[in-house]
Amino acid sequence: MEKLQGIGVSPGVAIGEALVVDSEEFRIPRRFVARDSVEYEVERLNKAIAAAGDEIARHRDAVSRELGAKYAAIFETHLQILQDSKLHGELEEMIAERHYTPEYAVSRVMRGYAEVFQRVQSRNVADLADIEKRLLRNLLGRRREGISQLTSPVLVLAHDLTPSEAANLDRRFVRGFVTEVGGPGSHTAIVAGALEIPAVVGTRPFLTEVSGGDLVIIDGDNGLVILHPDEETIARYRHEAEEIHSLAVRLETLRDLPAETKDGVRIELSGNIEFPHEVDHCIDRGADGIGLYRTEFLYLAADTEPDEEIHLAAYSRVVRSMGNRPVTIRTFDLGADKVPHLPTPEDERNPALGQRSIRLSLRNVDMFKRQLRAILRASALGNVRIMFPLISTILELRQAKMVLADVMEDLDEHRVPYQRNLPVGIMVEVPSVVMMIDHFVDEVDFLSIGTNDLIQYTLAVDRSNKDVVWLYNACDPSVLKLIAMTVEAARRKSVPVNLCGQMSGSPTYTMLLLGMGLRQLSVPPSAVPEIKKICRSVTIEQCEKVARHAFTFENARDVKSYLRGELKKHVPELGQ
Amino acid sequence: MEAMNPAQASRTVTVANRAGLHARAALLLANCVREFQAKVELVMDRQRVDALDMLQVLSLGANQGQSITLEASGLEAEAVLDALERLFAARFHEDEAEGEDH
Repeated sequence: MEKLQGIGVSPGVAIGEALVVDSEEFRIPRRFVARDSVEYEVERLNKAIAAAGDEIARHRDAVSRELGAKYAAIFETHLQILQDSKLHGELEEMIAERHYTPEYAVSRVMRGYAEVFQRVQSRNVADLADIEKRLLRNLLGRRREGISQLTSPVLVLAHDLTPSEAANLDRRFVRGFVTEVGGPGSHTAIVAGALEIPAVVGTRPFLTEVSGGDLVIIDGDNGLVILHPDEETIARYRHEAEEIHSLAVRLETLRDLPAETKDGVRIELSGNIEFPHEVDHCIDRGADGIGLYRTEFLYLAADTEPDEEIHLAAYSRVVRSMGNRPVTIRTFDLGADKVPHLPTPEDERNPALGQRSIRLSLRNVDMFKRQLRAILRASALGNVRIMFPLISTILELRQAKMVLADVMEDLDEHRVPYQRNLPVGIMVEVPSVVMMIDHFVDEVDFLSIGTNDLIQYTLAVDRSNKDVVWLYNACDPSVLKLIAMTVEAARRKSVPVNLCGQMSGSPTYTMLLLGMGLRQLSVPPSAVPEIKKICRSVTIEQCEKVARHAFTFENARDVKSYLRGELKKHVPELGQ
Repeated sequence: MEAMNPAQASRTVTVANRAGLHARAALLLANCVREFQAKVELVMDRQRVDALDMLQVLSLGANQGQSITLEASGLEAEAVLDALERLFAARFHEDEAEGEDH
């Protein structure tokens, strides 16, 4: 049994079979296959050899056609090397006798030949490397695709997942994630949250110690991954999984009750979603609306930019399902480095502070307009609000609103229906906006505090960097002050203010946030029942007292332990 | 040693082309063998490889001046050796190919 400590980014416990997603860099670890899967692995090898052979033959024929047979000879050589019968025998033997994975066998054997070639000073060493890579690509490629074509439940273990891999995986079968890199707010974390499955990121490298099919436990609550668990541990976690389930069942009874405090103050409790299907999770839990609809997956799921109709189809699904309840759609919020169809930025040494989000939208106005048109068209179907992310200056907000006005004018000209006075708001996630909040409140219909980025920019901490992530604290007094300033300015001008981000979904902070005057919270759908339970268990007076006291501390740790104590006192059921 | 049977033959040749028995020559060698009903093995420095196993042939690293024994078996054992001997003697048509090797 081996325990790995990482960062828990999505709660819950999962026990199941591992699916190991290899890195594309072809650093193939020595790994073993189970005795009874030798036949399957040999077949996988043979399929990869056949597929690689087909590829080479296609290249050969194309080059031969275009440049002449002489130039195609190199591919013929590759093909014949690949078809070497002794090579096949050696690879199969490594799998059958030594139980190596096909990947490791290929890597070992081909490198062995490369050494021989070097010794005899063959000019074909580079050709061997090329063939090795092609074989590995076919072996691993199959496995990487496998993540979207699964047939049984698995826990996905990877070095890292590309955003499109994360977005395209088969939701029915993935029961948990572990990645060696990444932090809270990484794409893996968001997707795991959306799927409501446990996830741990930022462990140390461990993929060499685990094989596909091994039993693994993911403890998302404590950021633990357990490899080769013993019987006792399995039993303990099975028990815990049942407890979590039974709490969820108890909280289900709150579904049709409002998020209202004991003294009768109504809290608007909405859901954060990324994928249209999550709207069902929100409705099932009785959320009051969609407080944050992230639209990034639309840009990540395909290699080409989504057109207006693709946007519209996704938005319509969400807006229609919610009926009259509000849906806040946030415009594009990614860096160019993450989006396949945008040119890779040249000078992006510091992406968090670079050309991303609204800045990128304002630089790519056509792309921005396509999204705005779709949002406006969806506004004719229900209660839509539009929200701009990462605003840092008032001019940026005005620019974005100008583009929106342009799009509206265009729709008017073509007599396309939309909600003319749909509310327009911004994310408050850059400290400069809080400093200038008195000006912003005059130019927006609502504010939404995005704590994830606000914390990152206030404390100058990259939450995906495990060496500094300990500095990343939602309840750092500086962050609390910024939230308080925003809430106060909004109150003076009667501008609604919402709080989304991970902080809002954590029971620890609910009393504090209500006590600070927040009346709108937007949380992951899975957190709706718990947060509602807290709202219904406390009075505003109690919360205000907690908030006042929390502001007397000078560091995050003291705030947090105080808040945990208060939660335990007021809502023992959730205060563990 | 295997028992001799009528359809076996062997001959020693010298690698005469400048580039040696590398990719291009090995390809011509294999293509030549495929035209006959025979199995051909190359023996060099106690190593024995099948002429059709390109990876093994290349692993020999036979350079110019190296001598190799060709052992053929099968219906056309003699014929294939005749053809191969011509191929080695013709330096794998290296001059026509402008001495190129990939």
